[in-house]
Amino acid sequence: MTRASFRVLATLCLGAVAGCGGDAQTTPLDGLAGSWRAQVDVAGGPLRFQVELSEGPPSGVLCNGGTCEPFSAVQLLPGDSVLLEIGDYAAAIRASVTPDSLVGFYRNVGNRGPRTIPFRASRGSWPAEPPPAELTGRWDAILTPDGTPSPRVLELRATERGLEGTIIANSGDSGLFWGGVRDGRFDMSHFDGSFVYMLTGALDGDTLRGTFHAGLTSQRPFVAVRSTGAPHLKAPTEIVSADTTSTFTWDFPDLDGNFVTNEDERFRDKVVIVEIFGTWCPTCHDSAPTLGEIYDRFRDRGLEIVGLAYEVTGDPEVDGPLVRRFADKFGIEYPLLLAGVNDDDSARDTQPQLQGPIAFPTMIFIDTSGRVRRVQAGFYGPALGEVHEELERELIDFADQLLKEAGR
Amino acid sequence: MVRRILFVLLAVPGALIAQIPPGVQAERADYAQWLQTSPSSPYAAVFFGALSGELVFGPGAQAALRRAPAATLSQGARGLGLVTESGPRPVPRNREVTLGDWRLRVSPVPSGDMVTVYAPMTEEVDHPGWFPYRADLVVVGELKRPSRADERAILGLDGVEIRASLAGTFTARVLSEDVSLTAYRIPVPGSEEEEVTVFYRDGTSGAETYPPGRFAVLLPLGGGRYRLDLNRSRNPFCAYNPRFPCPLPWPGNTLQVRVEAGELYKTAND
Repeated sequence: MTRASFRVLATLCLGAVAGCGGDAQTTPLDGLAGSWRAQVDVAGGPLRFQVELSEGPPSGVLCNGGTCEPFSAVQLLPGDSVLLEIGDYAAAIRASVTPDSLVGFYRNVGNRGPRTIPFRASRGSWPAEPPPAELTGRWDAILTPDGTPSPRVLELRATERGLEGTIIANSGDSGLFWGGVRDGRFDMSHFDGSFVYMLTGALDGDTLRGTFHAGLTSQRPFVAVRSTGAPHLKAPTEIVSADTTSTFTWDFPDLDGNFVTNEDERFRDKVVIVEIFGTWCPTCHDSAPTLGEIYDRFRDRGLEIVGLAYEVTGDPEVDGPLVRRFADKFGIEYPLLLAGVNDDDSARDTQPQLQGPIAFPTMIFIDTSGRVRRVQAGFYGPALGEVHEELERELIDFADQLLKEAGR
Repeated sequence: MVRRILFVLLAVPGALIAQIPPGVQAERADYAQWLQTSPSSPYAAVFFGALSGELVFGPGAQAALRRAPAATLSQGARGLGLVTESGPRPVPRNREVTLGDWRLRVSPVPSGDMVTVYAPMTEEVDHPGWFPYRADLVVVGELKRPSRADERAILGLDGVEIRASLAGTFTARVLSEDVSLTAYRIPVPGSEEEEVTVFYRDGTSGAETYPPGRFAVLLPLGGGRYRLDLNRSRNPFCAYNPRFPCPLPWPGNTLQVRVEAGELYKTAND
């Protein structure tokens, strides 16, 4: 399952574990500001990331290589400890403070109770450990080659920060991984407060062998060979298929509770892109700017977009503000509707015209007759560089083609 | 009714009692706080059962759900939904859903859906009890992979049936006994994670510890070797609340020695 898949954790206060800062003092960080080499210690070794803390109103960011996300709160607590909250995933890091170290635990809560993983950090930045040229590039991988095999593509590249890349599955990528190469072995990590992922391994002749680590204890071996360009994953347009014989329909409430349907004047005789998304889905955050670009280019020629949000709770009072924040973050001017919850069955039940597993995001391109012309499952985000740019061009060209067919 | 677990520290003659590692200490503190305060603590559960047709909450509902806000949970044309006084709304599976100050969770199982309903806790819950930390009950052994793949439905910690694949047989020496424990890979819903888990009974089961057994997770060390920290053994949720079904002991996973480590089972009535 990739980050385009479902996350279990509710975007609720982690009262039982993190305290949600209720008894915290908003005091200055008193010399904590600066760069911290951070790690959580999973069974497979240290999973590395970077933390940057700032003075003023206490704040900070969590960085996986070149991608940084702000903590929802940074608070100095009584007893010389610091709380770094990752509110989106009901997670937090709480650590004791000494002048040159932070030592504590990362915590979040799942269905079976809290998860606690040791965390530590020291002053400074992780060094750049550039990979050899023979490691970079695109690799076709099979996870658990002698168990239930699961295909992935590994995209590895050298950057000024060391080794960066991502893991791509049929339904999208797993966000930016960062790491380096030491003594012939590589490690790269992605930690966002919910997903605790690490890839380790080494070149063995022309083959890449290693382990995919998830959470504190999960380890799945993989083998990978250099991609020949032949398809290793299903094409994004083959994962989800749609009934193309009838009009594609929707009927869901907007953020003010007014139902919006495909029969509304706004969508009549228009080329329409329906995006199935969720604010909890990082890949959907990647696709939003691309949809914004398409909307800006083509709305005057008769293109409309509607976003169908599948959120965490199903409760409009909880989900509504999250979707509104998403709209504000990306300056979205097209309607976003509360369509359901991010549960595989729910998404399928509310989209009977789609067949196959619903990926997040999924873009459905509809021509002016109301028929589905293309279903794009998943999205290649900026972490994929040229692949992302190529997909963006492809989607823009396809929207343009549909408009031209309609004489626009 | 909330069962109380007394905080008990037992003196274990001749045992290698060590200072509890910070990680285990933090894990226990978090777990205790979650059990005591979380709205979806196992202690807060008032209903656990299959969703057949619809489940009614509020006046007219079965006794356990009668004090909940009025609502109906059912599988409709647009999926699983909850109809409340403020209208219908979809319900996610594997996720906690609020119903006023109540909570519910729908867990998909091979035969359909199971529903757990949680009411606000009105009674105080004591800390779970633990044996003193025993360094000699952290063992390292090998996990022999199975000769053929085997997947079966088993009950997890939370009493929910889940498809788990056979991970193999873990062999190690525990105190004076060479043990072989069957281990399964239990997936964590909603993630790429899975836990290589053993559910075992030992000489303390039915006395100081929960009769059907306790769960413990193997930590991989590489090269097929795993560490089993029996101090981290935990009770299934049925130990806290009889509404949860209890897993049956896994065949063969009975140790003759007394594993005086991990979570205890003591109630106020004992």
